[in-house]
Amino acid sequence: MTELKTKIKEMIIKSLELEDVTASDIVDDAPLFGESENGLGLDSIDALELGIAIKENFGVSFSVVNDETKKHFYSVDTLAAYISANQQK
Amino acid sequence: MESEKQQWFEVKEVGGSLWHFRFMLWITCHLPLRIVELCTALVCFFFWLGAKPVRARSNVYLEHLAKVRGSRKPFMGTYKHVLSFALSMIEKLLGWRGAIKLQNIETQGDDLDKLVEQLDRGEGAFLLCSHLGNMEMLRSLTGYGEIHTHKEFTVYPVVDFSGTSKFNALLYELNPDLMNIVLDANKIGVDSAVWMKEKIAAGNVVVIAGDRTSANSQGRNVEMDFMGDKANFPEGAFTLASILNAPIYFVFAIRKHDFDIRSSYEMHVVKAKTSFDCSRKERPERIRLLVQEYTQLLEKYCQVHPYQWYNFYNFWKKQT
Repeated sequence: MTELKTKIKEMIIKSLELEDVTASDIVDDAPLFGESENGLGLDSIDALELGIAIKENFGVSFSVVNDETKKHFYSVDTLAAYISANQQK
Repeated sequence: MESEKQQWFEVKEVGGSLWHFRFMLWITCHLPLRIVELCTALVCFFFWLGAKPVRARSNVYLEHLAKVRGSRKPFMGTYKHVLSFALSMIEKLLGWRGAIKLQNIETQGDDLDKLVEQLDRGEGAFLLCSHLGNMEMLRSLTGYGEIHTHKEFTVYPVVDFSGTSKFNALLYELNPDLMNIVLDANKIGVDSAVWMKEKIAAGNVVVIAGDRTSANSQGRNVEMDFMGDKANFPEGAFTLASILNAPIYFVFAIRKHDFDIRSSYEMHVVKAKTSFDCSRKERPERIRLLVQEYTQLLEKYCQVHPYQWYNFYNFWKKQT
């Protein structure tokens, strides 16, 4: 799981071209979106791009239900849980 | 001020119940088109008399246009604008009932060939259309494909349903298959972004209007010179283009004769010079360039067919 989380963090940094951010800077359970003390403060456009990056990197898509999708995108932890549950081995 | 805030998309379906639209459909299908046009002209006249906010916004547009063309504002221009819009609705119903006839479309020897070649190679595209002319004509591209391209593909329209729910309910009844491939512009999320990207990668076409305005799009705007004045265009469609990062084309299908629904169409296809093979930092500037290309074309075609721009929205309103 730790390996997957690191991969997710690297994907976030690469796909969103975040500068001055390393994988170790991203806190596992911090909210990725919106204003918060230890989060990244991403916006809805970033979410679209992350979705595309996740599809390309892990082969996992999201369902049509938007509220559910929001929960999965909450933090690195929730993304990792969703990806590992839906990834085809 | 509150009433001023109420924009076109909120006014659009005034008095329109599904029953009205059904009646309109019946008339459209059972009476000769000449009579239909006459009825429309009459109904529009009374609507026009009563719809002051619509007149006012139409007037703002026609004033800007007159300034750019260096001509005087036409007599009864706002009425002609409303009438042309009503005719387009009838045209839309007719279009959804049956197939669009290819022989009614006159191509212009422009970038259409590039687009066809690209689709033939199995590469998809992102099209930016507008409320100028008849967007339904874009569907004819698939028919065009059967004749001119070897590959089969689908046109997926992204449509804003918020202002026209009843009319759309009727469209759905007319052609459920078509409605199933339509994406709701107000529900674009992670799932649909991935879906669109996949569809384009598989050689299909996604199309969205760049002059779309809705309650949801009032957040991010791009300020642009448009018809001699600063105007605000919602950024959404252009941002989507940047995320999908596919080749972009501008498409306009315009009735040759403004007030004749049997008129043939001219189809203009222009490949965008702007692409998004750049870093995220450069992206806002590229989006600006894309909006600029788009608005310049829109302005150009609006000058030729002013009444076919079905946008009763004040783009020039100062942002507060």
